[in-house]
Amino acid sequence: MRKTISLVLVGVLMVALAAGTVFARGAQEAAPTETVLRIASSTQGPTIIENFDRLMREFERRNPGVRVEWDRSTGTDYEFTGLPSLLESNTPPDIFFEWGGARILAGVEDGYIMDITDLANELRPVLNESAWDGAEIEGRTYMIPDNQDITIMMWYNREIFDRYNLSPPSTWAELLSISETLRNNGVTPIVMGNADAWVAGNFGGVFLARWGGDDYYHQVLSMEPGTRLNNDRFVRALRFMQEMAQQGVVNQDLNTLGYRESFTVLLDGSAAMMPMGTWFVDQILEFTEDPDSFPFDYFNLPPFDGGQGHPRSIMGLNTGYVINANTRHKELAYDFLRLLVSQQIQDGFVAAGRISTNTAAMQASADPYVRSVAEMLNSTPVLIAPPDTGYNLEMARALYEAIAKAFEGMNPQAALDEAEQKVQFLR
Amino acid sequence: MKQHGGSTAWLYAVPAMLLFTLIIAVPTAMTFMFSIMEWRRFQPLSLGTVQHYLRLPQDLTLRRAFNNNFVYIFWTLILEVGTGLTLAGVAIHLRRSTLFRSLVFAPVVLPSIVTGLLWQQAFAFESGLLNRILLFAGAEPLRWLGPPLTVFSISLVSGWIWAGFFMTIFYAGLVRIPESFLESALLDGASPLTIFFRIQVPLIRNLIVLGLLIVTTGGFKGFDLWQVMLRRDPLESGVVLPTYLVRTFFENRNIGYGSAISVLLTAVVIGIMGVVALIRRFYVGEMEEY
Repeated sequence: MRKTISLVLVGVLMVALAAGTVFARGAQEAAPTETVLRIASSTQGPTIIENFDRLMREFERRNPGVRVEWDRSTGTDYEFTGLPSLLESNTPPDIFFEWGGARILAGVEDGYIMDITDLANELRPVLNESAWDGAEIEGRTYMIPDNQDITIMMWYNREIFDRYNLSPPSTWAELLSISETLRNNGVTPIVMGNADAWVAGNFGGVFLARWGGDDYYHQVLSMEPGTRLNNDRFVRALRFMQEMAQQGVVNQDLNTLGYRESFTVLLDGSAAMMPMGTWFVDQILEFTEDPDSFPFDYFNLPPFDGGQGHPRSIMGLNTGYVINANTRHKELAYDFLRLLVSQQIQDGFVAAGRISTNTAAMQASADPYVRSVAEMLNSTPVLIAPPDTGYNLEMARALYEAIAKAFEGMNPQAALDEAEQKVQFLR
Repeated sequence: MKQHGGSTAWLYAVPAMLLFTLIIAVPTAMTFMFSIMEWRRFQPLSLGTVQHYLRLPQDLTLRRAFNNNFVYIFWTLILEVGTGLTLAGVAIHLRRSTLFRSLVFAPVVLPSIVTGLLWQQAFAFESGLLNRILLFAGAEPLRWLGPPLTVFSISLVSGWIWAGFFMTIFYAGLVRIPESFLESALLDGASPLTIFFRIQVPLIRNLIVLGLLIVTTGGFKGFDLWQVMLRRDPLESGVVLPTYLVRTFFENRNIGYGSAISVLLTAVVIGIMGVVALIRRFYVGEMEEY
């Protein structure tokens, strides 16, 4: 009897599994008359997601029989494993998010990114001129930029600054003095969640360019002949970062603290400042429904005394969407990108704190934050590319590790010697 | 009984050989072929280069990954096999305590991503449970996931998960030992500890060697905990071969070099399995097993 019951149970389980598999497959497959347009991007904050959803629904409304599928993963996962896996999968995206610069070149060389110069020429009148930096290679255009990011600016808690009678610094000496006041009052001056390597990496990148010189930074990271990572200027910049760590200016656990966890430290008032990009505004909405309860503001990193880079340089880049060279829905993809950068859609993104490439949407915005960041971007004399999106990835990784190790207390010369050894075979 | 001819006997082995060829032999051969090819990211360019193998001895990260893997195996031998054996010894005295065994085994069934995230919170520097305990005890907080503790901390979590699994294996061996052996020892005046170490443990040493094999070869496969808990590990204090392989293949898109590392890893694992087989041959021998 027991044996019979067991056999029946196993039989039921097998049938359930088989049925589940069939139904699951049925659910994944599109209806025969439906066309699926697949989009892939990194995860955004809640208001950006809301706007993107609105964009997809609007596109579906305009294109009956078309369904838009959006696959998104967190920034680092998307950048390093998510997108490469998707591109090699059976359901590759037709359109995918990219960072302008070296990644576009790599994608073109790999045969993943389509030449969309004709679409770009059509859209040029509605997008601002500087948006195309990083989207073009040798006169051809491969990306439709929809967003301009500053990747490192210093966000600070206004309430904490007011409490200790502090104001945004205009020199590094002032920044260190502010940090000392904060530390003496039990507040961590600067918090960074560098477990993903890029936060301190980008922050350190600004140091390298400001100290070593903007052109020099570009030459070294581009691995131009005769340049080396373990040069005197970079060693000096890393030493400065190390001194910051030794003086308790940055959180002790920066290299093991996660990106999301670092926001918690800032928002609960344990820390006063955080170097982060323009997406900070949208990101904090993940942690609170009432952003006004967090009185934040930002300042550009102050200039170095004696540095050879421009004192008002900014690390930033254009981001946007590219079309998969192997897509079967080129016309639909074109239409989607036309809609994406239209003022109708970009007005929503600007209202969510994005710095749009659409000129009309930016001009229509009265948001003081959006206007001031746009002003900062448009007035900067030098835009520095972040190491991991502007240059070779292995080079960026080696440099990020050297920066992390310098913050950790390793001799800057030894950290950069090690980084140089790691990239030797790339030269 | 009539003996079947050799040709018929081979037929029985065909399904297994076919599976082995498709799942093990062909991918291994392809990995070797990829390792001697030049690539531009995912596109093969030409065959017949040894440059990836020449890079291996100069690779600092690879050296660090091997070192971390061996340290991890050392700690997991203690924390997984050693603790598992100890817990099995406790469980055998609490034979009716299904609850004890279920509790110890429970972490095995938790998804490793959940376990990793839970422990990551426990290890957090500012607000983690472990540092709160240290602070309460008047000690300084530790950076559990930073050097020099990184590998030990991950091993600790690994031990927390897998000690229950090894306990179950060893427990199954211990309960098969005839009661008469233990009763004789008791009558001779042996203490429970003496019985455990002198009678029970030697009689399940084949299972202990199995545990050794699982931990040493499995130590080269661990990826999930490292990835979840250390993210991109900017200090490389917890870089291990699987995380380095994923980085090489996916992040750097270096198929040739990633394949060369895979070939080296395969050779190392086969070598270790050979050593374990030798230990098994000379240490376990032909004695009765439980």
